[in-house]
Order: sequence, then structure tokens, then C-alpha cells
Amino acid sequence: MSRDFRTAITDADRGLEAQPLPPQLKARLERRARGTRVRALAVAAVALGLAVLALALRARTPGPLAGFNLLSGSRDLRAQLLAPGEVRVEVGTCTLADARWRGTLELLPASRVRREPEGVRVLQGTVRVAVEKRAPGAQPVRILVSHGALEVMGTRFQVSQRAQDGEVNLAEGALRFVGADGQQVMLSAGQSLRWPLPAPSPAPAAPPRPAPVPAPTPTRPPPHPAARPLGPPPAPAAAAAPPAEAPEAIFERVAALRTRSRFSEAAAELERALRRPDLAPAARERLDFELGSVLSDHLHDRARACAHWRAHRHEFPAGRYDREIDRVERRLGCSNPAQESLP
Amino acid sequence: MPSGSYALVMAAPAVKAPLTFEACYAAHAERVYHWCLRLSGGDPSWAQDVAHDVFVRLLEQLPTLSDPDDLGGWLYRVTMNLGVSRLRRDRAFSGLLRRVRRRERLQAAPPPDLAYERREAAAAALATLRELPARERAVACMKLFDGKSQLEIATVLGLSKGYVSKLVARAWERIRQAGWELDDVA
Repeated sequence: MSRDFRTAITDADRGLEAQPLPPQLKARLERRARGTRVRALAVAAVALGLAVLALALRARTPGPLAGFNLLSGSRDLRAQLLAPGEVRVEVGTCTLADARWRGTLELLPASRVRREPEGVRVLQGTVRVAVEKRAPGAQPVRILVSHGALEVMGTRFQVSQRAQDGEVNLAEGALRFVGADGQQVMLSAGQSLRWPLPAPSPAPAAPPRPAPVPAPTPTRPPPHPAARPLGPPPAPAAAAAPPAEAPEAIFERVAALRTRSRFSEAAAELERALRRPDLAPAARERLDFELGSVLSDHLHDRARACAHWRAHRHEFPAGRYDREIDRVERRLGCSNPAQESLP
Repeated sequence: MPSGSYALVMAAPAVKAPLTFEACYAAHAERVYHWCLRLSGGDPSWAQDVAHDVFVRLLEQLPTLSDPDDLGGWLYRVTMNLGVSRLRRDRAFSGLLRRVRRRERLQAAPPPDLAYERREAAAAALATLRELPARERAVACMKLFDGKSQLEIATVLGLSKGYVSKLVARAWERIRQAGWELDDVA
């Protein structure tokens, strides 16, 4: 027997080389590969689940939404993208920003807005709008509604749009409502406006109307220099009075006074206008409402304000501003007439 | 032996893109299994386990192989290193019984198809090889079967050339102590 290791191991290697590849090896590897595929599928499923979770979380975190920037959303927010730039909030609330101006749009449940070239259109529901003050000379921000547009230079207000009409409640600042028919109404803090606007008041050439308020019983507080007269208007003076001023001019003048915080003068201006016998009922109602707003929100004269609202309700039993007046009366605590300084 | 040499592996036709696992297996499985048989000293079960591990590694790393054209070299390195790891693990206490059982099984296995005396010598040489510690066995296989230089062995196993030289010297010494004649290391 040879004891040469190199020769012996070479012979042994020849024998090893002759050994066939065991088929079990392939079978084991195939099983392993299948297991790897199953694991890969499991990993893919987990990854997909995580991606879905991330998307769900992303829906609650700031990001783009129908061309708006989604700043925040309630936990239960459910919104639907209806068309490019159009979003409807079904459940919950969300706050959006339009990159074209600085400010926010808070969409309440069941509200729908659309981004349009000339502004943001409130199609349905209630939206709270806050616009940061615009630079002098800048174009106003336009919030479009069914019967016109609200032009704002920096303010905070709430828009409610219904199928046939809508309204805006201005919390601060000033805005201008431009109706589709060209009518313009200036609004100041605390004021509300509904649309569609009533038809324009008749021309000044129309025959003078009778006094709108017979005032059979006194419903007003003691006479105030700027208070509305309770008795019949001084008819003879009408002949010597200057040509009647359009109600819109009065509103603009009052709005200008309010923006300068000259509320007493605004109240006096309104009371002076309310003495005019030629005012259309709709214009009278608006002026009277304006006066109540100034008394309630700016002069903070609770007694006069409550008395004013009571008189307003008496004069306009089914008035356009009943809801707003309800709200103001609740806020002022006007429910107990005994507290009010009625004569 | 030319058929098992590393040089031949390097010269084997490269697996062209797309490099599928099936194609890699078909091209290299027999060679890998043969390397494993050498390392095991003729144990088919052990060789199959290590070859399985090598191809599992390939399955995992095939998409990220830095040099698919050197697949033969990559398999050789992985086989040697996984084999050494496995041999060292077998040295642990948990592998003691398995080793005893394997020895019994190998003694019962049929010897290579040679003349009786040479078959006996071949079986004895494999038995001597099996007695070498893991790294010495791998170094001896690479030196005796594949004609590797010490530098190449050091590269494959990730060891220093000096340490490989020491391992070769120790392995040769053990083989000689077992009664074999073995020429000096080249």
C-alpha cells in the first residue's frame, strides 16, 4: 500500500467526483425558494398595509387637497374631491389655504367649495373665512357666492350658502358684496347680509310713501339725540328737504364711519336716515338693522340695543334679519323685558 | 485534478444575463457539491447541507452580486468559508454525537472504484483529512486539490498569508504524523 498522501488523496478525489449530485439538494432548494417567495409575499403584504396606513394618516395630516393646502382636519374628517379644485366636506371640519392669498377657509360639515380663477366659490354649506390684511393697492380677495361676490381686503367672516340664497356674517373688518346685478353693499364688523339682495329701491321721483311706523305705543327708550323718532315724521319739512339720498350712499357713509371706529356718528347718521319718510321698507329695515348692530356691537349700549331690537321686531314682524337678531338678543340677554329701560 | 481546479471554474462559461438562479444552479451545482465533499472528507450528507447553504446564500444575494461574471469565484469563496464555519460548529459539543455517527456511516460507505490497495489508501487519506481541524482541512484541500498559493488561500478565507503558512505547516505535520509521505509545501 502506497503511503504517499498526495496520490492517495487524488484517488479519493476521483471517487468523490464520481458521486452524483443528490436530487434532494435541488428539491430542498426549491422548497426554500418557495418559502422565500412566500416570505417575500408576506413582506410585500406588510409593506402594502403600511403604505395604506401611511396614506390614511397622511389624509389627516397637512397636505394638498384639490389645489388647496390642507392645514388641518378634524379626526373624523371625511372629504371628497369632486372635480379639479373642488372639495366637499362630508363629515368633520378642515382648514384650507389658498396659495393665492394669505388666510384660511374653514369648511364646516356638508360644505363644498371650488377654486376658480377669480376666487374661491362657496357652493354649499357654511365656510368661515379669514383673510389677512392685503397690501394697499392689491386686488381684493374674492369669495364667490350664488348671487355675487364678497370682496375683502382683510377680514374675518362666515359665509353660508344655501340652494337659493345665502348670507354672510362679518366678524371684523369690512367687506363689499358685489351682486351679480351690479349692486354693491358695504358691510362692517357685526353686520350680516343675505342674498339675493332685494330689488333696488324705487327712484326718488316716486310719490312719497306714508310714514312706515305708526308707533301706536312707545317702544323706544327715552329720546336720544340720535334716536329714531317714535311719532309720525315731520311731513311738512319734506318739501324743504334736499333731494333724497340713495340708501346705498347712506350705507357706504355709515360703513366708512364704522371702519374709522366713529360709531356714535354712524349711529347718528343711521337715525337721521331713518327719519326720512321716503325710505322703502326694505331699505328702512336694513338701516334699522344697521343701527341695532352699532348699538349692540360697537356702542355696547345694552339697554338701548335691546329696546331697539324689540322695536325692530315690532316694526318688521317677519323681518329678513330675524335670525341674526335672535342671536344678538341672546348674546345681550335681552329676553327679560323688565331689565330694559323702556319708558 | 483539473476538473475540480479553481482555474477551470474561472474559465467556465459565464452565465449571461439575465442571471437566473436556475441557470446558476445548473452551471455550478455539481462543482459546489464536489468542493463540499472534499471538505467533508467524503460525507455526502454534510456536503449536501453545505451546498444547500451555499445556494441559499446565492438565492439571497443573486440580485445584488457585484460581479456576476465571477460567479464561480464567488461560489468558491462562499463554499470554503461556509464549510469552515460548519466544520468549526461541528467541533462544538453539540456536534460530537453527530460526528461519531458520521464516522460510523463513512466507514460503512463503499470505497472509490479502484484497486483494493488504492481504495484502502484513498479511504485512509480521507480519514486523515477528516481528522484535521477546520481551517487546516480547508487549507489542505485548497492546496492539494486546487493547487492554490498561500496568498490565494489567504484571500479566499480572509486570513493573513503568515497565518495560512502556519496552517499549512501544521496540517502537513499532522498528515505526516499519521504515517503519510507528503512532499514539502511549494
